[in-house]
Amino acid sequence: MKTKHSEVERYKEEIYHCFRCGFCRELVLGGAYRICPIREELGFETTYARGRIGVARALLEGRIEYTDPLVERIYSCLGCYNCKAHCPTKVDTPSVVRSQREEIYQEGFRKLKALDEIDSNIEIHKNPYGFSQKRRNQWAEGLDLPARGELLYFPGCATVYDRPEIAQSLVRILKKAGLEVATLGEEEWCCGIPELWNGNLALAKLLMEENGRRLEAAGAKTILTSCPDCYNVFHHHYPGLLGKQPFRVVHITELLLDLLNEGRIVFQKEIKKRVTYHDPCRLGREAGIFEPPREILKRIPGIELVEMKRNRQHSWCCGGGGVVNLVYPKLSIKIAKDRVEEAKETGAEMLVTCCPLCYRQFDNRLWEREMDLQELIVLAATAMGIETINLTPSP
Amino acid sequence: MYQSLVEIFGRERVSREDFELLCYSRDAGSLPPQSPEYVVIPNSKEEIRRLLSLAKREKKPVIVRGAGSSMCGAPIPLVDSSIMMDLTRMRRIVSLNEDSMSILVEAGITWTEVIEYLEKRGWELGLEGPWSAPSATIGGAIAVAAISMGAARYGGLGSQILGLEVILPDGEMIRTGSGANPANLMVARDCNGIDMAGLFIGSHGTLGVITEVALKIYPLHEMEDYFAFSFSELNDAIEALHGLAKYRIPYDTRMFVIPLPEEIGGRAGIVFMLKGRKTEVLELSRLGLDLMKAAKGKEIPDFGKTYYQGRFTARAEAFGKAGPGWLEVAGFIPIKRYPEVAAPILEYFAARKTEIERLGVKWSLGGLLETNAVNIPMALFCNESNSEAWKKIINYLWDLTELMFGLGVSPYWIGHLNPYWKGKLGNFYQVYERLKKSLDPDGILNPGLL
Repeated sequence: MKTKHSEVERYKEEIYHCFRCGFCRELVLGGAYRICPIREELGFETTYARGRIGVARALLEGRIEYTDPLVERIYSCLGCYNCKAHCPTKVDTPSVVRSQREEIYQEGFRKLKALDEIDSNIEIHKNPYGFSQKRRNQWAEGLDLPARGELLYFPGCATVYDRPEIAQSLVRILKKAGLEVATLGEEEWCCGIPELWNGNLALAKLLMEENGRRLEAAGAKTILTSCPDCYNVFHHHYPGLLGKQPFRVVHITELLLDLLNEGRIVFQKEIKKRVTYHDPCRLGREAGIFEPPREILKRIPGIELVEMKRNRQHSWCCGGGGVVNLVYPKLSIKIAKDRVEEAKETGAEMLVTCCPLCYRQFDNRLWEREMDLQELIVLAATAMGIETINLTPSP
Repeated sequence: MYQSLVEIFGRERVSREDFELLCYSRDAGSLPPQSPEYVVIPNSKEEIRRLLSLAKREKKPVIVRGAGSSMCGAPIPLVDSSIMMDLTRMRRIVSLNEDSMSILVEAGITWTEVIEYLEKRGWELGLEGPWSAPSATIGGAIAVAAISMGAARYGGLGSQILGLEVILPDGEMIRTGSGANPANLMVARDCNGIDMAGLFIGSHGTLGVITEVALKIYPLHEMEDYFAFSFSELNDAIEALHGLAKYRIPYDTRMFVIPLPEEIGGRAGIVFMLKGRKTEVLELSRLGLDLMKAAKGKEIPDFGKTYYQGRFTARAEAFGKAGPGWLEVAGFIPIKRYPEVAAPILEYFAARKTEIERLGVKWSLGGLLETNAVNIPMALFCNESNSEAWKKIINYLWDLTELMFGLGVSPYWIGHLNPYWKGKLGNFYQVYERLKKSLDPDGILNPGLL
C-alpha cells in the first residue's frame, strides 16, 4: 500500500519534535493519573502518542507502508488530547493521526464497515445515524423558533436525534432570559466532526461549507452550540480548513454563566445532590472550557460539587472519541465504565456531563451504572423550574 | 516461535508487526535503531520465567525494556532476531511498610507514580529518579544506574535499595539482602555476606530481570529552598561545588557551563536545592550562602526556584526544544578535575565551530554533584530530519566518548558506548564476562550490551 504521505507531511515538523521521552505513556504527576486510555487497555507502544508519532515518522521516511493491521491501529486513537496536554514539546498527536486517516481514506485503504456506513448516512441523510432529515427539527416543535437571526443555535445531530431534551432545555432557558435564538431546523447538516475523524476530509469540508453558507444566509453573526464537537468544528476547524471565520462561536456554558452573572436567569429550585462533573475532551482539553460548567453547577442551590481524581486538564476520556466507539465498541465501553467507576469513587450520587456523546457512552445498558446521569443544560433548566421535557429518543 | 509466545502471553500481548517492532527499535536517544523480531508484554513473573525458558531452549536473545527513556541505547538490541520484553505493565505497589521505612514495588512502575503515592501518605523517596522520572521505570533506572535528582545528598541509586527480586536467565528467581530469608523482609541490603543487589545495579539487564525493588522511604520533608549563583571563572564555580560537597549541604546540585542560561550569565552557574526539616534547611542555607560568597558567586534571584520547581517537566521541555535529537556521554570524575576534562571538550568543539553552526547542532556541558564526585554530562542535539547533522552527532559522540573515557571519566550508564569503556578497565571487564558466562551461559539476556 504505497502512498506519497502528503497529508502526514504537513505535520513533519511536529513529528520530528517528539524526542520519545514517553511522558505520554503513563504520567502520574500533579493531578494526571495515566495518559492514554487506549494504551492502558492495549499496552503496546503504537497504542499511544509516542508510538503513533514513531509510526508517522516511519511512514514519512518510507520505512513502512499502510497495512490492514496498521490501519486498524491508527483508528484506535480517541483524539482525547490528553497526550498533547502533557507533552513537554506539545506534539499534536491527534492531528497527526487525523492526517494519517485522511491518507488512508484517500488511498482507499480503509476497510472498516462501521465507518463506511457513517459516510453513507451523512452523504444521504446529512446525519451519521441515517435518520430522516425531516425529523431533525422535531425537538423544536411548539417552541416557535425563527429561521433567521443574529444569534443562531446549532444543536447538532447527537443532540437533536439522541438527546433532544438538551436543545429544548437550552431554548427554554434562553427564552426565560429574554433571548431569542434562531435555528436552521431541517436546513442544518451534520457539522462534519465524524468525517474529520473518519478521514473523509472532503466530505467534512463540504458539510462545513454548506452549513456556513446556510448560517450566513440566515443572518447568523453568533453561533451558539451545546455540543462540544460542533463547538470545535465552528471555533477551530472551520477557520482552519476554510480559511475564514465569519462567526463568533459561543458555547452555551459560557452564555449561561454570563446570564447568571447578569441576574437574567436565576436558579430557584433546590437540587439536593452530591454531583461530580465529567469534562468532555472536546470542551475541556480541546476548547479550554473547564470552569463555566463547574460555576453553573455550584450556583444551583443544594448541589455539592465533588471532583473526580482526574479532572480538567487531566480528565479521562469517556471512550467515545475519534470514532473509536464505532470501530472498537467493546474497548470504548470498557473505557466509559472505568470513568463511571472513577465517578463513583467520589461518593457522588449523580454524574453530570455537558456532551451528548459522553452521555451516550455513560448511558449504556451493558453494566449497572449505580448513579444518576444528567446533562448540565437539562439540570440547569430543572433548577430554573423549567419543566423537564422527557423526550425518549426515537429508535 | 510466534505460536509459543502466544501460548505464554496470549495473542493480545505478542506482536510481530513491523510498525510495532520499529517503535521498540529506539530509546529516547539518537543512536541508530534496531528492531526486535517480536515484542511481548508480560503481566506476571511466571510469564517472564516461561519466556526465559523458551528463549534458552530456542537460543533466542531477550531484550529487557522499561520505559525506553534512556539515552544510551540500553533497550536497543545489538543482535538480530531478538524478543523485546516490555515490562511497563508490571507496575504495582506491592507493599508500603512504614514500620521498616520501605516500599516494595514492581520494577515497571514509574518514579513519579511512587513519589505521588508516598506523598499522599506523608512519606517520600530519597532519590527522585532521573530527568525522565515521569516516564522512567524504577527497574530501568536501576538497570542502568541512572543518576538521580537528590544525588548530591544520597549518591547513586544503590544507596536507596534495600533489596531486589531478580529472575535469572535460567528462570530461577532470587531475592537479595535480608529478603533472601523468607522469614524476613527486605529491610537491609548489606547482609548474608555478599551484596548481591550490587551485582544487578547498572548491569543493564544482562545478568537478570529485576522484577521487584525495595526502596528506603523518609518522612515527607517540611521545606525546600533553592539557590542560583553566577561565577565569572570556572575555577571559582568548582571551588563552590567542592565546598557544597564537602559540607554535604545540598539535596541536589547542578552546574551550567555551556550553554549558560540567560538569567545566570558569567562563565559558569550553579543551582542547588535544599530539602528537609525546616531548621535543617535554614541552617544549610546559611552555610551554602557563605560558601558561595567565599567562592565569589553572585546570587541570581528566583532562577533556582524556577529550575527546581519544574524539575519533573522543565528539563524535558528544554531537551526537547534543544534537539529534539539527543545524544549524551556522561560519567564521574573528582570534582577538582572538572576543568581538566572540560578543556579538551571545549577545544574539540572550537575546532568544529563552522561545521556545527552549519548543521544547526547544539551541545551542552554541565555538571551534577553526586556526593564525592561530579558527573560531567556532555550532550549533543540536532534535528533528526537533517540526516547529515544526525550522522555527525553520532560521530561526535564516539569521538567524545573516546576522549572522556580516556581521561578517566567513569560512566554510570553505558549502553552502546560499551566498546569505548571496556578497554579502559584492566581486568574488571574480564571478571564481568566470567560472571555473565556463569549466570547466562547461552548469552540470552541483552547480549553485547556490556
